[in-house]
Amino acid sequence: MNGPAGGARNRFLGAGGTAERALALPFFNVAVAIVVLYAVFTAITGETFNTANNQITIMRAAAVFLILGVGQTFAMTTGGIDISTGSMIGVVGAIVGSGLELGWMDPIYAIPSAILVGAVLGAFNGFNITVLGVPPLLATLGTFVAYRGFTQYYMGVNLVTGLPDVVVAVGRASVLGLPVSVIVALAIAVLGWFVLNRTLYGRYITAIGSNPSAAEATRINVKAITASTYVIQGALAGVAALVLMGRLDSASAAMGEGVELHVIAAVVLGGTYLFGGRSTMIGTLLGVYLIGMLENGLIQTGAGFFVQRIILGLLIIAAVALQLQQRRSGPG
Amino acid sequence: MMETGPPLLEVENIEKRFGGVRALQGASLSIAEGETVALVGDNGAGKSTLVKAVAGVQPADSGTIRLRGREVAIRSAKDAGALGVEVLYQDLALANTLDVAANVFLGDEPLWLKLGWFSVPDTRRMDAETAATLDRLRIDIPDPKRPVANLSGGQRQAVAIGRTIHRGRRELLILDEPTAALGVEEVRKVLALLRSLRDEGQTMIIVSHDLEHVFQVSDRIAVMRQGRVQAVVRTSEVTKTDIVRLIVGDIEDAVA
Ligand SMILES: Nc1ncnc2c1ncn2[C@@H]1O[C@H](COP(=O)(O)OP(=O)(O)OP(=O)(O)O)[C@@H](O)[C@H]1O
Ligand SMILES: [Mg+2]
Repeated sequence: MNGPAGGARNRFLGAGGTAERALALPFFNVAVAIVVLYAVFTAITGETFNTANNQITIMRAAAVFLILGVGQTFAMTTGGIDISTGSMIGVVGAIVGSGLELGWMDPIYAIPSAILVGAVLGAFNGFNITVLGVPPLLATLGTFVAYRGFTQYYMGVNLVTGLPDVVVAVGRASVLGLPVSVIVALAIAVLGWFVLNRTLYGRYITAIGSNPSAAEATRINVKAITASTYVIQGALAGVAALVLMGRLDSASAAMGEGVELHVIAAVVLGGTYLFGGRSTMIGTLLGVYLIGMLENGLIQTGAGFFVQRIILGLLIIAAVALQLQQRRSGPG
Repeated sequence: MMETGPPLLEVENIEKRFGGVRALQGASLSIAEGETVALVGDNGAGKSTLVKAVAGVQPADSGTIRLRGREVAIRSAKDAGALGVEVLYQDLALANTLDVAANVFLGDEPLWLKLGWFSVPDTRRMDAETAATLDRLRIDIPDPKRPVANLSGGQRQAVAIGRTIHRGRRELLILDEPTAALGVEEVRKVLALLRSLRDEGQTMIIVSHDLEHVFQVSDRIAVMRQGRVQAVVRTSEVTKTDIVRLIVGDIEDAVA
């Protein structure tokens, strides 16, 4: 009675109708929010918001958040968090950018070295969290400050400019109407989805976030896998740094400041549990789009930078409060 | 009795401290191949701690562990696993947000594509084998694709047992209170499973507070008190009253 066929049948019978299934999707809320906000912004701005061009603008701005959102989703799945992403971008920009400008780095190495530097910065987070046992929030708060401090120390008020074509292309070029940065971000998101949903890695980070001692007891290498999520996040910060440098054709001491807020908001809004054990890459994609759309819409409706920040901050609180609510009412 | 080779497992003088608490104070135990030994004792006697020392999740501070006469160092769950020691933990080590098959195979998945951490598990096979195991346990889980957080205590226990009996190479199976928190019918199923495992020649250590169950499945009973194995007796040669008195410490003589 419990053959695979029985299981498959029960999957449809056991869990109520399609509507109930949809409601249970972790990214249901964000999908609804997108539809509502889209309608609201279209209504307010009329022509300008609801155009293909504007959608491309949103995506281009959101590409960096999506790249980082994939790594953040991994870290959060284990029950961790990385708030140092913006600062890692700063360091990568400083080192790779100045290397290129001063000519001690060949442009061929721009992309791999950005990823490598980012991975090393992430590995330091991973080491502090898993080997020294510093809680992720504090470990990455520490590097959030320290990495930015390094960047400011190193760069001063200088601006790196005149970056090679490869880097500029990553930030600015388009293929078939889609910006390269968006294509890169989507490719990373697809890969991230695959890793999360189809590989041992995805299973293991979920198990770690769900019940670390269970993961340990089943011989999953909890420390190494947990640390690796920060290495991945660092490597992705390297990619994000390339996109930002390319887009601006420059690197400054302030590069990447504030992105962590967008990234964390997007991932949590998407339905990934801040407490680990449950995550969704599709939710992250939608969350990133929601944040991008919100910012774009707010600009078009005349709200300034500070209003955006207020809304973003409150949104994070609302998203987490909502998760806590669902956690209390439902199992898991 | 069956003294043909060295015992499958010998633990000697195991000590374990948690700060000021001396959870194990020189515990020793020996188990022959194919034997089922019940480990009993009051709350806090050190049963789970002894189990965790052998399982490597909480390595002992000192003492020796021998498998088939050979001294082994068990410093982690990985070490124990490599030696063929499988454990069902009292505090149900399930990953609540994963489904039944994922939990049964966690850390030991059959692979469809082998790529290190990024290997792709063979979920089809996992689902089928899990269904077969649940069948064997006669445990009905209507929707095995849902996270195990939604399951009843008995169903969760079945998943945990399913996991321990699923591992390929198990020299020794340790079950810490496998019948705790189960309904009458589920207890019956678990006991039947334990008996059939015993009949297949599986060496087992079963921790339990329920002497009725202990008498149904064990060859010998080891009684723990204050971090030591105080007595080991043949199940067929004692009564429940004897065991109760050993547990509370009425009798001090250790029977070998
Ligand atoms: N991780 C730990 N930290 C501190 N003390 C511990 C820890 N684990 C066990 N102890 C203590 O060690 C002693 C033995 O505990 P253990 O869990 O082994 O008992 P037990 O025989 O399994 O009891 P029960 O029948 O209640 O499961 C107890 O005093 C317990 O409080
Ligand atoms: Mg116990």
